[in-house]
Amino acid sequence: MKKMRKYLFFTLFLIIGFIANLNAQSDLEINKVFEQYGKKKGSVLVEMSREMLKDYNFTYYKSIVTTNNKEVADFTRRCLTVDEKGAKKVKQVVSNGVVTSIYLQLPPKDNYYRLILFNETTSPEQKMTLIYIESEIDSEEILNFILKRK
Amino acid sequence: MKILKRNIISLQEVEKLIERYYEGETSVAEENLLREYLSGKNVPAQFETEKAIFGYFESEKERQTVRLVPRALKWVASAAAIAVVVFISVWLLNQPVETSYAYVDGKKITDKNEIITLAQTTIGNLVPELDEVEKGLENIQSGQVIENQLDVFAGVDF
Repeated sequence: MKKMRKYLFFTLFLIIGFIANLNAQSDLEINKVFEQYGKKKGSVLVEMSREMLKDYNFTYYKSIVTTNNKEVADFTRRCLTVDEKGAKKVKQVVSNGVVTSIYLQLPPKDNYYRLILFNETTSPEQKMTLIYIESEIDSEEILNFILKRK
Repeated sequence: MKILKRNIISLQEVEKLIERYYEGETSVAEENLLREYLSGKNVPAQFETEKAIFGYFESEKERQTVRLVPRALKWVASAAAIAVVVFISVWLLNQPVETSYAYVDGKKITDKNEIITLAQTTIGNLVPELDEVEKGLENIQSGQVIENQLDVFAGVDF
């Protein structure tokens, strides 16, 4: 009985941990990119939540930049093919049959508008940028907001 | 063996009972009789060991009886704990996730200014691309794309 109770509490705490880390991005395939490559050498991972994004009209921001790592870019492209289902493509650039740039407006989830921005450049060096943004304002407004800030 | 009341049981009979007890030959009734005798007052010093043994079993029995209540309480406590856990889960679910950090080459950064700078640099990587998007949006709004495409046919004679 004691063992059973231990397992019960352990399971409950696992559930709590899972819930605590849950956000709208969790269900996306690109989450794997952040998880697998975010903390590796050559990567720059940034995660910002509401308290730091007050001035930016975002509620959540996560990005990863990798340099000279084609493997990550290819993996990200595969993830994007899954996430683009049901999403609106704002922009897509295909170079030599390979997607080098894609901006996706995802269907809103839990009242949050979601946007994925992906870009890969090859010169002067290979660099992949993947950004995920959640906002209470429309994705188009987010894009305009980013444009204004550049 | 004939079972006698405590006040009339003889020392000899007690000794025999104890001997049989150690042999494992006593009945439940006889053991109860022994227990009753040994738990009484004025037990001769020669039976101190047996008194201790029976005293231990007696206290164990009491302990087990007392445990019945805490066991019920434990279930109540468990149910309360589960309720608390569920409450915390629901509360956490309704809380915005407050995490801001960055990792550069696997090294964690928590300085707010540094995180913002890194985020701005990341967005900056998209700027040339965003320029094109902006131009495209403007062109669509102004009908420039259609005009440009129609220009191709401007010189065509019909």
